[in-house]
Amino acid sequence: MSPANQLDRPLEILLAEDSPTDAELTQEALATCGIPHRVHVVADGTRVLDFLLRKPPYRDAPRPDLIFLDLKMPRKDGCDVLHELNAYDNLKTIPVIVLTTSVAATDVREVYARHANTYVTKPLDFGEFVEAMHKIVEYWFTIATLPS
Amino acid sequence: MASHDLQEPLRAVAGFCSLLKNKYEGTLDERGRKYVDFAVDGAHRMQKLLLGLLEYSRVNTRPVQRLSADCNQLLSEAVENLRVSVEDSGAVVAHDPLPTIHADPTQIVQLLQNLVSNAIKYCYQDPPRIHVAARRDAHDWTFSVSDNGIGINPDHCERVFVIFQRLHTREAYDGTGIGLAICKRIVERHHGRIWVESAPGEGSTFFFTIPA
Repeated sequence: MSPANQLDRPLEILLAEDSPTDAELTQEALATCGIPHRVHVVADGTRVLDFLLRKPPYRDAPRPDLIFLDLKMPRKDGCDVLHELNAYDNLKTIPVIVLTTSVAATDVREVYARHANTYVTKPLDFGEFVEAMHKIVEYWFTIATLPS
Repeated sequence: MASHDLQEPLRAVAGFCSLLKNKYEGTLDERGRKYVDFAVDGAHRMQKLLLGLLEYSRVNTRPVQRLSADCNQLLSEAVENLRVSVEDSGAVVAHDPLPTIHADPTQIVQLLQNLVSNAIKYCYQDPPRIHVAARRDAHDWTFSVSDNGIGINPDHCERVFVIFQRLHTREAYDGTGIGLAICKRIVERHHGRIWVESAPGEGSTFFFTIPA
């Protein structure tokens, strides 16, 4: 791990995912990544913003080091969230990984146009999914330097 | 039909079965592990069927573009998309000079890709040799994709284009039975015809026409 990211606390990960089973699988995949972390799950786009802005019931929410964002969510979808995040100077610096089942080229373009950092199509195979999640976490927390 | 909605339950089945296998391997006996493997395999196959069906429905519903399309270029794109299986099989894909036609380039790439991919899949022990050619008559371009593969019994030459119809067991040749049905839809949407001439052991030649 590079010294820049040697934190004295667990990494804070915000996972925006409306499917409870997908949220569980993602947490299971992260559980074996070997880097101490905490996952906070929210089930729609409105709650992503509430969490980040520490609105109730998220008054004591930590600032996430990384956001995993599903695209298709009720109320406010992933693209809306990206759009709104860009309005907050202090929030738009948090890296956002879009984690989706969509392979549509239009979604990929749209997501990068809204300044997401990475677009990942979730592999169906659980083994491949775990590997992908480990690589993402390793990249963001041991290779990239994150804003402090 | 939203791909997302259909995939989510499948991810749950495949994912939790894999977790069950990984985390409780010690508790499961050999039969239990086999059942879990069957469940995971079933979910994976369902996923392939689902993606195939979505592709089929897209070919049916998306408007057909009419652009000037250089078939030499479209064929290289198709072959490039198949690079892994071309390299693994040692296939040689050759072609005569191909025409520029008025067609939907995305769909023609898909059509050529499905035909070449089938030629690679249904091959003999020898590396697949595939040749693509086109000739022009009064009204149409007739394209041909020929291979040196296992061939098809003439009795089955119509059936292969029907969705979900398969001539082989999954163990012999894996597949969903959707690829050639997609080819047929693409050609029909371009007001052409598709057929195959073949005999077992003699290779196959798939033909399709596109109005000139």
